Amino acid sequence: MILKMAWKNIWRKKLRSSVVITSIVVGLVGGILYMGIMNGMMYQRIGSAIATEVSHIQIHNEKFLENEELKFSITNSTNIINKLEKNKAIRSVCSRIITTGMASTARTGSGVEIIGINPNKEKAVSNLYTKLIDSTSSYFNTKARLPILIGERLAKKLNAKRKSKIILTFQSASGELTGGAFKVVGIFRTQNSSFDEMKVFVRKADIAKLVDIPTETSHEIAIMLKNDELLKQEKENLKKEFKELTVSPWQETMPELGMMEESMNYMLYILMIIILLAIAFGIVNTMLMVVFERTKELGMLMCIGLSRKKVFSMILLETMFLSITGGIIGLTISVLLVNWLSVDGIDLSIVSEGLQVWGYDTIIYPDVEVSYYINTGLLVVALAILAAIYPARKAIKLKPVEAVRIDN
Amino acid sequence: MNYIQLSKRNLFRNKRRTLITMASIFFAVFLALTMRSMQLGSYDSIIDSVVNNYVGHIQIHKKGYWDDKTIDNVFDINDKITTVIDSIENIDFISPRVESFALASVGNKTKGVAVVGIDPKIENSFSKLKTRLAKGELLQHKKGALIGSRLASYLNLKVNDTLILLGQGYQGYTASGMFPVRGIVKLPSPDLDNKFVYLNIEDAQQLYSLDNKLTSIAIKLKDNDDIELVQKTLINTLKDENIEIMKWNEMMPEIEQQIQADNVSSLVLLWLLYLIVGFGIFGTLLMMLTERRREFGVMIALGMKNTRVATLVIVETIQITIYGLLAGIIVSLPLIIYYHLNPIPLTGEMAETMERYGWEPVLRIALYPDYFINQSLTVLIIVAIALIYPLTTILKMNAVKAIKG
Amino acid sequence: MNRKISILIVIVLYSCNLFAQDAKEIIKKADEKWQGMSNYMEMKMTIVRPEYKREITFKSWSKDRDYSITLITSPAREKGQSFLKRKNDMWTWNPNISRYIKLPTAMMSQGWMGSDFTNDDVLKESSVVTDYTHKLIGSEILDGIDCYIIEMTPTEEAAIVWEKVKKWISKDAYDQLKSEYYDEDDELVKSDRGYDIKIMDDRTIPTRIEILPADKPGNKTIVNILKIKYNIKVKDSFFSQQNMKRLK
Repeated sequence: MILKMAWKNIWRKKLRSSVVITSIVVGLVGGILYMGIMNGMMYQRIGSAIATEVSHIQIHNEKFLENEELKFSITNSTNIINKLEKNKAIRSVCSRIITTGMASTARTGSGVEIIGINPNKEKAVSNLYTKLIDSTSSYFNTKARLPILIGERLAKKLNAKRKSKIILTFQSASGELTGGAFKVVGIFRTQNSSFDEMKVFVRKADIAKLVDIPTETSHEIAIMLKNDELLKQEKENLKKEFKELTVSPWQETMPELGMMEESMNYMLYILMIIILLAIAFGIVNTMLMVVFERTKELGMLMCIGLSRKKVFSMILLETMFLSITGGIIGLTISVLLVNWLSVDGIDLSIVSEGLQVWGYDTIIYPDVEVSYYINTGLLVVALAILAAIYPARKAIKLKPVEAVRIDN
Repeated sequence: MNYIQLSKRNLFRNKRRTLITMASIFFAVFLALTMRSMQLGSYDSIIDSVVNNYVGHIQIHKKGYWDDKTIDNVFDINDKITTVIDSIENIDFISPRVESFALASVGNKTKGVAVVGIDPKIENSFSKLKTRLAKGELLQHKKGALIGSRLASYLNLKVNDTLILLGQGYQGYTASGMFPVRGIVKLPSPDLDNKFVYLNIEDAQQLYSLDNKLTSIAIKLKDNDDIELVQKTLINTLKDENIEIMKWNEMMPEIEQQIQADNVSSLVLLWLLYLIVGFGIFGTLLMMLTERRREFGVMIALGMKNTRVATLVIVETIQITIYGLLAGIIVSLPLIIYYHLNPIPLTGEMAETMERYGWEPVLRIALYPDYFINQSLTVLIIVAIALIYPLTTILKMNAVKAIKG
Repeated sequence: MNRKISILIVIVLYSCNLFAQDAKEIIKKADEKWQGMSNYMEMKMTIVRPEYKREITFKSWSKDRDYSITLITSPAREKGQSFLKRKNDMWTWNPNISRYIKLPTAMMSQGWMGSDFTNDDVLKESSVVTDYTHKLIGSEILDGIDCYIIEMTPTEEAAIVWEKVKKWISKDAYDQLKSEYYDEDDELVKSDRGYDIKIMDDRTIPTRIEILPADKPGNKTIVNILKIKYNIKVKDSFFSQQNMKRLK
């Protein structure tokens, strides 16, 4: 019965209840949307870094990361790759030869990291081939003797274009200075401009020949998993399986992104708590006012025999109903809005300048995890209960006789 | 009609209601102030870690150096420059530097390194070298080198080993020298840790055949806010010298852009909060309206014009707002000042990651008098907006209906 | 009729071929005259910049195209440094630090001793004949001397940054009087000029060479040949690290 009364009471004063509910809805929708955009931005950046730049996991000789020397290659790499290809969690694997050298044109030279790839296998792991700025580029399907792929930033620095000649100078396995004349077959642009400036891609066979090492040599094995969730588990599995090698998940290869991921989760919950706190305050205040406004009515109820406990519960329930209604509406609108926006994304071109510098795309797809909705919903309920306690206690402290007498 | 007296009496008569309304305003102000100080504080952190760890607030170089950082673009620190710098009170201290590149050779390993000639007394606290010393000792006035830990391990160098540097000096002279390793520092950025070699500035000048010239002077100010002023002063008084005077954000525009982008999202959040508390304030005003409907009705019936009633309500609300504002400021101010001076230490994984990046694992709170005024004005505006509905209702009020209830 | 045409074609093709061979021959002759099988040189290099001028003197020994040692003899602060080139590698010895250091790839595009002559140029100068295809494109009178103009294009495999190099070789004496280096946009990047033809040892050669970077008008490097001896007797073992230290 109290339940019914509580429910009816709310709707007696429509405007007031709507105000409370609206504040909850606005808070939830605003907060969740905000969170979704922040999250979306982050995942977008991370997703593209994984797809283009670092892959899910990379494997190296344990000495290689400190010291990128030719001799620190992965022993038995062919066997390792075979094993990995049979691994059910892994979608694709590729191996690379890596060395450092100079890339020069007639104008100037620049230090680069030379990455020897097997173009077909590489396509399965990295989508770099989709980031070529000239759509007529042939990638490595070319007749050029020594094809090379360079980043846009490097191309600008060296004043090079497609079909330009780039002289790569590097050390051979025996320490001799050697090099070759390469032809630019494509220029790529990723979201990471230092990637674009530092990395050049050539065919494994070509660089192996010039450097005088076997073509199957591997300095880096890049792995793409079937989906992101498998990362934690696979990382551990691979670390155990290949104890002598360094197995690095993307968070270690690009620690700045790893840090961003860590702090983001932290942030999102703090933010939601702040928003809910603001909402809670509003609820407490409003309910207090409500209680005092209804002193006469409550007094009468108590006079005719409604126990204090029941009055307490009634106020509590009213507050809860308001909060939960607001919560449900708010969450529903949020879910719908986020889902709708995540289809086409939001175009943030207005504020885009700062974003592009940092490698973000201007179209953001809001991303909110289901657990976030659920946790927020639970928080709203908890908050509702807590927010209700103070007004409810005030309600029962009213002295019935005086309450009836008050002429508000 | 004495609105003020009347309003005061009304407010006093129903203390509870007054207090509740004040509370919602208090909360709005409190929330806004603390939120904003935290947000601005985080930018302070970013600026701090850039500025204080190496770059400084302002740098002086030979004109054209920043775009073409070669060893030939050096300048002399003459008397005029020293006098001008000494005369500016806002400058905390300056750090003269000689920065260039060289080949480090140990055994048969060679590696390109970044050589930084410093005055150890100044730089040890400026770049926090003291806290980052891992082995050995910091530079003193004898010949020696302080190198990054990753560089030390690549070249297999221990304290007291000899580091050999070879490079190109001023006007193309060959730069070559041998330096005993005095100490090893662990620099937070792995990239710098793998590249940096600190030398005494005199040794660096000798290495690069520079006599007394410098590549840069880094200036640290006492207060972040003085940057514009000091830069202007320096530019004006030193315009005849062939030098450029740059602020940190001119040297590292990416950092400033990051802060600006972040600021946009912070402001969005702030406005969201305003919206929410705005509803709270609206709610309380609405309540006040419903409660006092009869009271207003009686007043109108007794002959008071609706507009006068409305004005009375405005005067009451203004007072409540002012008291709420003051309360909010009085409570938040000491908190903000305290945490501004004693940043909140962070723990756990978050802290570890920050430290790895060379950031102090603390939550910084900023203190700017400006935004106290800004936030207060914003709250006033919100109250004004929240008043619109109640006021229009009062203006349209019909005494009889109001009294009847 | 057909036979006459085919003979004509064959003759034309043959003479074209002859022309091409001629161009290569010309370059070969010029290169051999300049370098000899081996040589010993004493040179002075002046580095000219808008803000300063620097002078360095050095001695150098070279053999075949693959080996050379250079010893800096002045000024005092640079004296005693030496450079060894063996095929594709370059080492430097610095008495101040008592060290041999092998020049890494990163230093290749830097100017040798701060001049406009890069380390890379030093390493690659031996390949004018083998790394290019040569074409005679005309003649010009330079400083009163009639010269062939030969256009050189790097072969596909050659690790040469230039898109095209033009050389002016004197018709009578096969002296390299002018070179121009172009990038792929056909813009001039660098040029050098030879002057002061004198008798040195057993031949007459330009004794002053000026290297001019095209994008920095106030900069140039002037090399004066003070003394030169051709076809000296020198063993391969002379060109060693230990010798870098011992040379005076």
